[in-house]
Amino acid sequence: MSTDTSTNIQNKEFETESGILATIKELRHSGTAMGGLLIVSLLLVMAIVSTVDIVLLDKAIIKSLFADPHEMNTLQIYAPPSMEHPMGTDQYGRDVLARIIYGSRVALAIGIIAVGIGFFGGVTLGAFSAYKGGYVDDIIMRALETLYSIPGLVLAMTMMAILGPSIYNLFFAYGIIGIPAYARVIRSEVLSIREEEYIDAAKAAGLSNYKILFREIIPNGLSAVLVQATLSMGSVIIGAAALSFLGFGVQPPTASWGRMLNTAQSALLIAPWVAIFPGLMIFITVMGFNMLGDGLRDAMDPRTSLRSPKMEALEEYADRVADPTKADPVGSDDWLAGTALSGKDARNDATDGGERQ
Amino acid sequence: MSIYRYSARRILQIIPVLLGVFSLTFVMVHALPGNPVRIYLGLNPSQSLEQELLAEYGFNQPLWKQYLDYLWRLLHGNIGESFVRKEPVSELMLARLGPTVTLMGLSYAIALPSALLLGVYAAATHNELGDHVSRFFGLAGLSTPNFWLGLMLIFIMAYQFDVLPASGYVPFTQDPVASIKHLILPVITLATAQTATLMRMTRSSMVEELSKDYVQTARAYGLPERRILLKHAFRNALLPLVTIIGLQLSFLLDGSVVIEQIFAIPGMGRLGYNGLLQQDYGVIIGLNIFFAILFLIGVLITDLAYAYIDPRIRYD
Repeated sequence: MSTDTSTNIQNKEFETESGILATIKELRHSGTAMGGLLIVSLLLVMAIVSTVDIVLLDKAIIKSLFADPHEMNTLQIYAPPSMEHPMGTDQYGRDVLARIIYGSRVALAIGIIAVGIGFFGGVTLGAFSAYKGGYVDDIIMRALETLYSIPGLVLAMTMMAILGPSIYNLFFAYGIIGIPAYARVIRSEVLSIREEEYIDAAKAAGLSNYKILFREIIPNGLSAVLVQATLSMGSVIIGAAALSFLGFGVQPPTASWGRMLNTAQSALLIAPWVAIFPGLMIFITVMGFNMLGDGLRDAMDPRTSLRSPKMEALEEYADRVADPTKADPVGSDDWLAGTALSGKDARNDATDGGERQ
Repeated sequence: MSIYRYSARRILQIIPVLLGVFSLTFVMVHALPGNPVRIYLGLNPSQSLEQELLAEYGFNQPLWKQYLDYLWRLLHGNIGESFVRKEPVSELMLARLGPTVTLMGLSYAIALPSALLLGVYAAATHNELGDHVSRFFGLAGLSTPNFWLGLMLIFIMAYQFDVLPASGYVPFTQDPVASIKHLILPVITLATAQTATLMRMTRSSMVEELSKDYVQTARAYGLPERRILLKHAFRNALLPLVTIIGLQLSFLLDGSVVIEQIFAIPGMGRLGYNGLLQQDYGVIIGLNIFFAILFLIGVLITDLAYAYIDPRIRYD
């Protein structure tokens, strides 16, 4: 990050604030978002390592660290947490910690793939629908409303009953269910962007309708959908876990947090650890995505600035030291316009004075 | 467009959606592997009995005919018949409406006021400690899976401290005290996520209102902060909140399916869950349509209320 700040300062006056990039840069000022990013990255590493472990290394890593997540041990049924099994064992004597680590694969895969399907399906349909307008718009929107008006979990349960309980069907079911929400968001974005002047300019320049849609309109509306996607990642993970909990989702022996809770329910009195830890993991995962999404949304919103006034003052001071020609930050330079400083100059100067003493 | 024409149009728009819901669930139900008669009769059914039942319920007719027959019955207000229980679906649902509505209504009645209170408090202490704490709890409430929360509450309140019953349902008319005791845990479980969602909405809506010029003006006039918050900003901040109250209904229905399962409450969610396991065509279709109608009416009322409250809305 520090390497490109110097070039940034010089190029600032030429830089047009393109939605998504600026948003992501702004993110690093938000503690919540960075916390969320940390959680999500750790989980991602955990999921990737366990996938490599199961596919290529035949569970060598997890065996050397903890225990085989699929190995049953009838002598150790419902063993309470101990040094050997830090989170205890389940009804077949399997190590809960090892299963929780392996469960991260399922949770993240569902989150990412299902949201991916919903995202692309929704963006394509919604943008197409809004751009076409007229009866095409009407038909597509009514069809999506149909999908939307059946409660998600009920629809997912029915779809899983048809397709059969498996993780791939879970991706598909939750992907389809997500489509209407994204379509709605992108549709309203497209409807407002369509009225912008640069679209008229593109038309005048002779661009075809589809080029305008895919090159001009969708990229500009995408950031709003991106926030929606990050925030819905959490609800998809919870929903998929709920399905597995009800017995419609991931099937044994695959380790999944929702499925672990399903079996834990009947043994709540004698082995609460089997119920506590998988749920805690779902909570932490979803919390991570929600924190990230929350930060993203704040970063996207031009009215809220994620930087603390002190931070802004410090950066401004650093800029001035780096480039003495920009001595007067107030009012004169365009490059301030994009950095969410507007309206805060007075407060900055006050803090800035303090910093320089 | 007048508000009457707008209402009429919105009501008319519901019809194709309902037809879509029926068609979709009909297709899905018939795509279920196996047939309900087989599941009902068990492993080794007699051939003649199976044929007889298939014929009696019309399952042996071509699909398009079954579809039209069902649609015809729906248009006459007959929502279908449960094959497994040999009862009209409407009666089955009516018997289970009470627990579900009680559960959903109570959790909403708790979630809404507490969310509004917390949201206004968070916005009033914007970027201070109180705000950060309530934001954290808002996110945490949103991130807690309700089925896990339910299990944990059962574990702590019923098993560890033995103060509340773990599961079951007692109608209020039968024994008010036991009824309330049985409802506390499920209602808390269902209300948590609702409170979190609504509180976050209230907060962001309030923060936006408080940054507007008229609030500055009111402050400049020396109005007490409490009055600015509650009389001026809060009323305007309520507007965007109205729009999601209808959408919340969908989450409540979802939540009730899971929670009725955990707490063994004989409600509609449980009916649907069992119906799905037994491939009870009538129950699945009936419940999906009922839920969809409920949801669509919720959204419709929201839209109309919004148009009525906010004179700036154009009806188009």
